Order: sequence, then structure tokens, then C-alpha cells
Amino acid sequence: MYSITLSPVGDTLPCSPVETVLAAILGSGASVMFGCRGGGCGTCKMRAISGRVEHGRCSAAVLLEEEKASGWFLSCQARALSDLTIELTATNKYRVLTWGRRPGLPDS
Amino acid sequence: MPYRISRLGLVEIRSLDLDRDLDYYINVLGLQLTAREGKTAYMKGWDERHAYSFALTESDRAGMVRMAFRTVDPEDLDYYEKRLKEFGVKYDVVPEDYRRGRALRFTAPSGHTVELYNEMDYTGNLLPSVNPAPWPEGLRGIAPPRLDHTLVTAPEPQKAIEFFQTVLEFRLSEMLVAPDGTVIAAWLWQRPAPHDIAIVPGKPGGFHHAAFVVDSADALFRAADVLAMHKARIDYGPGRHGITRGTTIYFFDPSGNRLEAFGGYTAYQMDPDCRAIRWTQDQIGPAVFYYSQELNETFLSVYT
Repeated sequence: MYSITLSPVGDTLPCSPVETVLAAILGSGASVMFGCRGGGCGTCKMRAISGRVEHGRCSAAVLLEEEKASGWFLSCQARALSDLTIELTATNKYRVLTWGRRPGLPDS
Repeated sequence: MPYRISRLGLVEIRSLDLDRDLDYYINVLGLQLTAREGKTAYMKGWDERHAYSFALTESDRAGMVRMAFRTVDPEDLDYYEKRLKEFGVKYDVVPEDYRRGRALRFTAPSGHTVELYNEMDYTGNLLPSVNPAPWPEGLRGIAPPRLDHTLVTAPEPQKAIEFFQTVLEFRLSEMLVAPDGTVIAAWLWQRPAPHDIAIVPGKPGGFHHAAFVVDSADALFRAADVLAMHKARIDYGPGRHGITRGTTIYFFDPSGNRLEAFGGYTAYQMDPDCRAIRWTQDQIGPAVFYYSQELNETFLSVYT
């Protein structure tokens, strides 16, 4: 199990190597902006400022090779290969959407 | 002005993984696979009588390859060839394609590859042609009877709309109009239904969705059940459009192309002299999503 730190929010979530980064975020009781969930539209694009991901199958039209090299990935396809620090932007629209204690997160 | 186009005959889109996506198209959407030739698979709804209406081609990206309209008569193809010449539209004659005869291929001002054809092999639907039952048994997934329409994006929608109206003689059923009178988006038809194609603002050559017919509210809710059971991503619905009055559910294929199950025939039928319905921009919410009365962000920004 790896951990994902979301900057600048500061939340740290568990992420299994078999689930996508998007699935890990949704599973933690939060949500981000995403679209097709098929690697085709690019709406769920994020950037890791540390750590490595397996990109999965993404449309070459929405995730360029040079973007991959500078940390960008599609969260609906990418799987963590290490602990990750993700720099969220306003476009990602991170928000908490759950009742009760968030799974995998310490009590706040 | 006679009708010269009988239907949207073909939509071809790209797949990031043909094996994976074919499983979805056959078992979740429930199209009939008619052939697989190399990197392209040909499919259709169970009630379509020609060889195919939908093609999926493996690529490194999602999005539309082409759309093709079938003319009513063979002579209509000659008629359109004359019109393309008259309006100075560059076109190629495609002598034949898979199970299809001669086609005219050109690029619309929206950036889309458009074809006109008449001949395609008549292979029949899934019912006998003598004393048929109303539907065949053994269908899988949503199992729409047929392809209905497509909606595409254009950086300058007015130009693309004018092209379809003027050169190809589509009629306008509905339009969304800015306060200064500019047409923002339009729904265009040739067969007497609300639309065969619609054009909205967006990137050149953009594919917003292809829609398949579902014929009742019951079928629409069943489609939603099927999608959720298979954990497909539903974008919106079940719901209703103000424009076209059609009932709707939007969802994505595994490569991220948007599809729609459209209850088209809760919608109206057109008479040749029907005048276009106008929607004002301040009512864009109910125009598109009648129940929620507002657009959602993904509907505007997410397409391939």
C-alpha cells in the first residue's frame, strides 16, 4: 500500500497499487473533477511533484509525452508505483463528500 | 424541397483498446457485431437492415473518425456531387468501402470528415421479414434498435451550421440563440425527426456523442440499470431535454467517448415546413437538461 499526499490540502490517503489514483481519492470520501473515466477526455489530469505512476492507456491527444515526463498523469488511468505527492489545482476541484470518518484518514 | 438523406448511416469512432471496448459495445451497449476487419469492428442495432451503422477503430486517441449520411435514392448522390462542385467544396470520391458502394467524402467547416453514400449491403435485421415478432429474443445489454443522431463540436458553429443547411440542405429544427441574435448551436434534420446532427461550440472535429434509440421510459431506466450494473460512467440522466423533448441518458464508453440512449420518439415529428424553435441563451439550462434546469460542467467540457 502506498500513500498519496494531496498538496496543498495536506490530506494523506492510502492507495493500493491495483487501484487508480482517482479510485483511491473517491474511496477516501472525497471527489475531484473527472469526466469520461476512460483516459479519453483529459478532465482528470493531475501532476505528481514526487513519486512515480504507471500511466495506463491514455489518449495521446490529451496527455502528451512531455507532460508525462514532467509528472502529469490522468488520474482515472494511473496507478501508483511509489508514494505520491500530488499538487492539486483549482481545476481539480477537490472536495470532501462523505458522512462520518473518512476511510483511511486519521480523525480530524 | 425533397428529402434527400434518409438517415445518419454511419458513425466511426476511435478506441484505445478494441478488444476491451468491443466487449462493452456488445455486452453493455448491446450492439450486434457484424464484422471485424483488422483494427476496425463494424456493428449495428438489432433493427437496422443494412450491413452496419457504427464502426470502432483502434487508435492512440479517442474521438470521431467520420460520419456518413445515406441518401434516399442513388440519384441523390449525383445531386449532392453537383452541389459540392457548385459551392466549391473539395471532395474525394471513395469508390467503395467495406460492404458499401460509392461515397463522396469531404471535410465540413467544423473539421469533421463527412461522407454521403447510398449503397450498402442489405443484410436484414434480427427478425424474419415475414410475420415478425416485435423484437428478437436473446438481446444483451441496452440493446438499442438503431443509431439515431450525432452531436459534434465546431470552433465557429455558425459556419458549420450554414454549411449543413446550405450545401447539404438540412433543415433547422431548433437553435440556441445569443441575445445579439447569433446562433450558438443548432439541431438539424432531414428525416422527419428532431435531428440527425447537432452542432455546438467546441474544438474542431470534436465528438460530443452518438445517440442510439431507446423506445420507452421503461427502456431508458433499464439502460441506466445496465450501465450502473456494469459500473459504466453515466454522465447525466435518466432525464429529458427541452430541445427535441427527447428523454435521455448520457454515458461513456471505456475509451471515454460519450454515447446517449435517446428516447427520440417521445419527441416530435417534423413536417417539411416546420419552422425552427428558438431557445434563448438565458434558458440554456432547461433547453439541454429540462429537469435539473442547468448544464453540468462535464457536458460542456468533456468530449473527445
